Amino acid sequence: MKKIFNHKTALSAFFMMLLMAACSLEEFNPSTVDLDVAYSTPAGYESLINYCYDGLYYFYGKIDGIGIMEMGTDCWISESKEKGFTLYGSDMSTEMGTLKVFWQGFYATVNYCNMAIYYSDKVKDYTEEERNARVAEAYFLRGWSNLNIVEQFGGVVLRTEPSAVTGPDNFPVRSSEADFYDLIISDLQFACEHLPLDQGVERGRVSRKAAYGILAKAYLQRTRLGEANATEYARLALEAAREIIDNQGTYSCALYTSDDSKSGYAKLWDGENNKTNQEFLFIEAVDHETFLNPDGDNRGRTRQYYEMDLKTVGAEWGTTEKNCSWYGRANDRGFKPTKYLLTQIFKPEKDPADTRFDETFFTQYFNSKGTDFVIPQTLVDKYGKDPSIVGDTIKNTLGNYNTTDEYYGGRCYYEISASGNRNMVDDNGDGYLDGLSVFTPNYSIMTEEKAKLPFLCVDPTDMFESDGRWVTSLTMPYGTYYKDCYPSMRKLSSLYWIYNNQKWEGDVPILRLGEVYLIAAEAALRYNNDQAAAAGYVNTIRQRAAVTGHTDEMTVNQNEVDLDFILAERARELAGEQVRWCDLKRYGKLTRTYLSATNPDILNFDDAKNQVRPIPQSFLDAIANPKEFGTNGY
Amino acid sequence: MQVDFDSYVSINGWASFPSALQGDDWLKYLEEGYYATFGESPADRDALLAAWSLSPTVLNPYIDSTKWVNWIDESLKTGVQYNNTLSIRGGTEIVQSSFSMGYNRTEGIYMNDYVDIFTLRENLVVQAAKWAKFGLTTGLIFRNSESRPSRINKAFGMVPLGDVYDENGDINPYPIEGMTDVISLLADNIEGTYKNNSKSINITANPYAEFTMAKGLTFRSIVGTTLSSSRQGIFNSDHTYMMLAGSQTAIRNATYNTGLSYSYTWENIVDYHATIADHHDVLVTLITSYGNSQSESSSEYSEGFLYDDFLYYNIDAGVNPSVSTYYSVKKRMSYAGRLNYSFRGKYLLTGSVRYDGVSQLSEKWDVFPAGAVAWRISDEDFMERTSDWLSNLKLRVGYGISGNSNINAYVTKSEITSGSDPINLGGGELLTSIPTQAIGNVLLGWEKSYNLNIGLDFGLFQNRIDGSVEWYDTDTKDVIYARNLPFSGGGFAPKQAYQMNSNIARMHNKGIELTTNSRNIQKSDFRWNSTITFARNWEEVTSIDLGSGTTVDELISLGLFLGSPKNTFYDYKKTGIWQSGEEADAAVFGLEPGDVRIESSLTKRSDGVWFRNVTDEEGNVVEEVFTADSAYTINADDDRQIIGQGTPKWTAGFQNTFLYKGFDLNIFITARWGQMINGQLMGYFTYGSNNLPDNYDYWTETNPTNDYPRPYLRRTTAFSSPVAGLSYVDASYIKIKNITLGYTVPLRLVSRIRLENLRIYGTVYNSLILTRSHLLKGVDPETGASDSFPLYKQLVFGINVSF
Repeated sequence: MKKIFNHKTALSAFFMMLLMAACSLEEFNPSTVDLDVAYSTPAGYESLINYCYDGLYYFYGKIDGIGIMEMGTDCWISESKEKGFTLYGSDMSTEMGTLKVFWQGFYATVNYCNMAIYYSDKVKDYTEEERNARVAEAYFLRGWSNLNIVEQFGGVVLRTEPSAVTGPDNFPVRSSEADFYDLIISDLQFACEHLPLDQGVERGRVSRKAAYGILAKAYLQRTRLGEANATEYARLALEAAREIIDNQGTYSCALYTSDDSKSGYAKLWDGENNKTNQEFLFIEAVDHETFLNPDGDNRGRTRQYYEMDLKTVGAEWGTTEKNCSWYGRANDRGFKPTKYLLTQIFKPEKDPADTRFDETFFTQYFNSKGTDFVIPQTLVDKYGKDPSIVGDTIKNTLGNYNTTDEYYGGRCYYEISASGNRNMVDDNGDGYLDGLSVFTPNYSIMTEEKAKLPFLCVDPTDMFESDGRWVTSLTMPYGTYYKDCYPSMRKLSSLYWIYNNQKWEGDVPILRLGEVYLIAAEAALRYNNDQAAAAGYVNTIRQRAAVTGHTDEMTVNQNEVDLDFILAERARELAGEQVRWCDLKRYGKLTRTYLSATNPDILNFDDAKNQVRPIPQSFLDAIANPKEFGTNGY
Repeated sequence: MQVDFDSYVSINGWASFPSALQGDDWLKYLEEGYYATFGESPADRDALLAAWSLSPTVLNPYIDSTKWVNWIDESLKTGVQYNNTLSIRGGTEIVQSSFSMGYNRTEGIYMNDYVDIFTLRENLVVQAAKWAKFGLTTGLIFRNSESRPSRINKAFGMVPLGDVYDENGDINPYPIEGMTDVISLLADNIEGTYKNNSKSINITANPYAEFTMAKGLTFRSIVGTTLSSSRQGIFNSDHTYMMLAGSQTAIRNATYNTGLSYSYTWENIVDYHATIADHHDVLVTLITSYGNSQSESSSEYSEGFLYDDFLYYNIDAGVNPSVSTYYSVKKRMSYAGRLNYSFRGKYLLTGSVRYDGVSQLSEKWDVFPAGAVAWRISDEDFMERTSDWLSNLKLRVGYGISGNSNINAYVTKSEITSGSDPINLGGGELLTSIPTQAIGNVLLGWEKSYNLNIGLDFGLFQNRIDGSVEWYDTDTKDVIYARNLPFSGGGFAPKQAYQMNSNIARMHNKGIELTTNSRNIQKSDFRWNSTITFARNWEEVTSIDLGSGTTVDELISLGLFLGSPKNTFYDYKKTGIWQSGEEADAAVFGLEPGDVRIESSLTKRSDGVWFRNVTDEEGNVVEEVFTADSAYTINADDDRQIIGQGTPKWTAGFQNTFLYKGFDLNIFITARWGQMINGQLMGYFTYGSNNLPDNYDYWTETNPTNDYPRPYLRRTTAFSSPVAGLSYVDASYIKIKNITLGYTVPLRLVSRIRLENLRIYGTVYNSLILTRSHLLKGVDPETGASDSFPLYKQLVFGINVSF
């Protein structure tokens, strides 16, 4: 008995001892390293800098940026898309989804930049110059992000340290708009000083020209604060803009110039120039080969958001929802231009000298049914057309394109099935292509003439009521159809980069040289009302918008060049480029008076609260002081 | 040796789920929307459809030939489940063994949705010597499943017309010719379109040894090992539902995920049991336990395949590949000691202490003591007088601390990851490294519950009725929450907040639980037994601590409010719909009859005049008055309120078993009361939607309901939103959970065919549901009114055989 007890005890004790020895509870994670280790080498540090670019891919050419930056202005309206931003009223609330992405995206960028700035002096093996060149990217992106934050939300949270160091921002505090601008300007000045002139093949990495351009924009925008030294900021804006304009060779940028067949403005939007654009100063560079872009691969839907209704109204005349890759899939009731934009900003005439309307809008939509379409009596009755067109044929233009084929005269990037492939000729000599289904010019055509056109033609007299409002279903007999027919914004749809009817893989400009000229012109006026200088910049921009034979028609006298002229010129040059709301804000034209004159479909603008956006509810619900922080009045 | 064979077949169907409007109901809905928007009726059907941006040319032929489609019915089918289990037991005094194998197949209520499960289990016990026993339990489970995404909620925004199948009987991807934005909800079921197959194998082997070292002194060592391996293959052709709908790029793609996890535990237990001087019974237990659990996984993806046939078996034939790998380990260690003492079986005393550590916390180790006393009152001499009716009475009191550390590995660490978004600035994809989404919290420690528990067990009338009453009071400190951090401090990506696991809340939870079992009728050939359970719970959050001394009264993002239970709903409270005659009051909010009426921060003074008192900057209370001319905007800041709790206030169960000769009948009724849900199925009311769930009673001038507001084609209002708070509903319900009727064939009959036992039975689950809110008619509150997984009724037919 005793013997057994001994060896049993020994056995048990052995097990027990084994167990005691085996119990380290330290965590082991071979798939990562600590932050301090990660950012101590140049390569590790640069891998953080690289991610500072993540946020900017969420706004440009994306619905999360289009509504907040471009809508609710004198240019566009929509009855159902991004209603809060287009119409104001009860739809603009703290709970808008795209508002939240905007807020979150820019604050995420600010925090990554703060992290990069924090860790910059902990990197070993950098020369001072290398360190500054890298961290300058973070300063630039932080300055640019804060500029967007302060313009949309006013004096909100201004942070200079990363949350990895400070911990969660449980009690966010507000800073003044002036504090914002002080930091924005000093960040951008650092970037101007230290960013390289050129980033080589990485066209999406910011270089010095972007810094001067955004600095000019920030100075100009600061003038709206009404500070005592506002004029000085205008002067500094002019100085920063001139740094680029006067040294285009140094910064490897230039405006595209016109020749006798193509305007410089048309070349600016040419697909062939998109990825090597000499005019783009700061871009969202899209990966068109492997599609490795943030926020998924739903790139390039901008054209769809602005597209007229080709799937129901247009479809009665031969268009289809899906069969056109150029103007894109028509599955959205989108952003419509205002009468003000179509007929006052742009001159409502056929073949104007200024090519910018044609480069900004699609006005022709073609038969993509796959078969010729013979106009039936019922359609003529329904749309009140002239009986003479019954039996006329709208020829099919649908076909398959291989990657080597010409597509609407441009290159086809991927194999697609789309309209524009055949019958793109005017065999019957009526002045219109034979496959045309819908035509939406911005000039008016005589009613009798229009009725005889063998396609649906909707011009501004059909689109708008006499007071400038869009027609509605009640505007019988045709309002139901005409309310969804309009020119569709086409800037981000150059043929070269069309992948299919939804994806467009071109780069998106965030700042381009053309805008810098307009900043310079506006700054010259705001500084010392130097109309001569302003006219110089404006005329450069205007002249290159016409082919060489028509340059003179574009030239304006310096007496005409005042601030209101610049505001209109900015719309002509920059419509759809996600700058308009901030332009109106800088001009003090975010008012009920101005908007009801230029965009009478906006019924609910409230001067007292709509100057800034609501603070997103998800943010307020996550902090300790939501009442004190406030909703911005919503 | 004994052989058991059990088998059942179950039929699953009759889902509680609304359909979308069809036929005249649908047209009426469109007309109401038109009328509300324009103030007049449409001239004709063409004008109506056109106003809704629907093409009359395309739709008229379908309407005229009444080709209505009920997409819910088309999508759902009757599911079937088969289960077969065979088990064999046997052995000698030295070796005992059992073995079982099973096969289960479940075919879901969606097409192409099934799970096959094969199981094997063996158990072996060897009494090697009088003092030594060894055993081994092993198990193997193989699963093979195929699934399809639920699309049925799409029906609520879909034109309910078309040809579901073409002339050949194949699924029509575009059911309405000429309308390419109406995609068949069955599109993924077209042959070769979509596949999502998972296979996994799970092996367990648990050896143990038990030694008796001396009288009353035993030592056991138990090892538990688990090894599991899984893979999931997903194939999308270039015409899946998502692609036809334009939500995904139309390109063939495949994903192949693999997982490998391995874990073991090792537990050593020493027991010493002694009876001293006949009446003192002592059991001492010492335990050490170690656990280690690791998992690895990988994922591969590529796209652009030439052929559907590759599925996910030729990923290298695609382009734009992406891969990822992952590893994690969690470890735990525990030391525990326990003492049980009993005197004459009347006075019972238990004390224990645990010392536990886990790898995933910063404060890894903590101590958890517990103690309990029990007094079997009925055994006392002075209770003899009552023993004729009180057969058992026992009082128990316990107090103890328990811990929870259930969080992911590495959440306390500040480490890097490559981020969720790829970055390419024009020179090829770049390396990225950023902090992980879970921000490290170096202070994270155990969540600890301090629990006081008093219970009374009783038995009456020779235990014809027995039961217990239990009262508990628990103070839980440092409750761990994964909190989304405010974005002003940045975020992981623009649509992904940083998260931090912190010991945020303290909660007080108390309640009473009652159970009684009664043997109502006890005749030789008829017996009736009942069980009643009832539980009432009161819970409140007593502290919310965001760290570094920051305490707040509410944290809306986590639904935490001082004095309220966890999972509190905070939102607009709908009190009905503004009715005709209430124009003046509705106008105060910028609304009209037919709009949702919200309980706001205003009080009514007279028709069309409402007011509230607010404190201005100087601290003076001032009155703000609102009228139609100075209307009020209902807003999230002032007008949301606590509207309900997610957990029931009380729950109850009532089970009845009837045995009559060979028949057995079992009926189980449950009730859950006082909880609210935020139901997805309640939230499909939006202006301009092409359809609505058919159980929505919406307001019209002639239908003054308080359920759903008036539909409009489109609408903008200057002040308050006319649609809010619709998805919250009281989810209290009573349901007959199951009814089972069985028949056991008498032994004298079964023994003739050499069987030991033969029973056949049928069960019906979820046969009847009564909800407190009429809004949940046709919806099962148990699923939270989910819009994708209907709860269905289930009919089971089974057989048990032993021989």
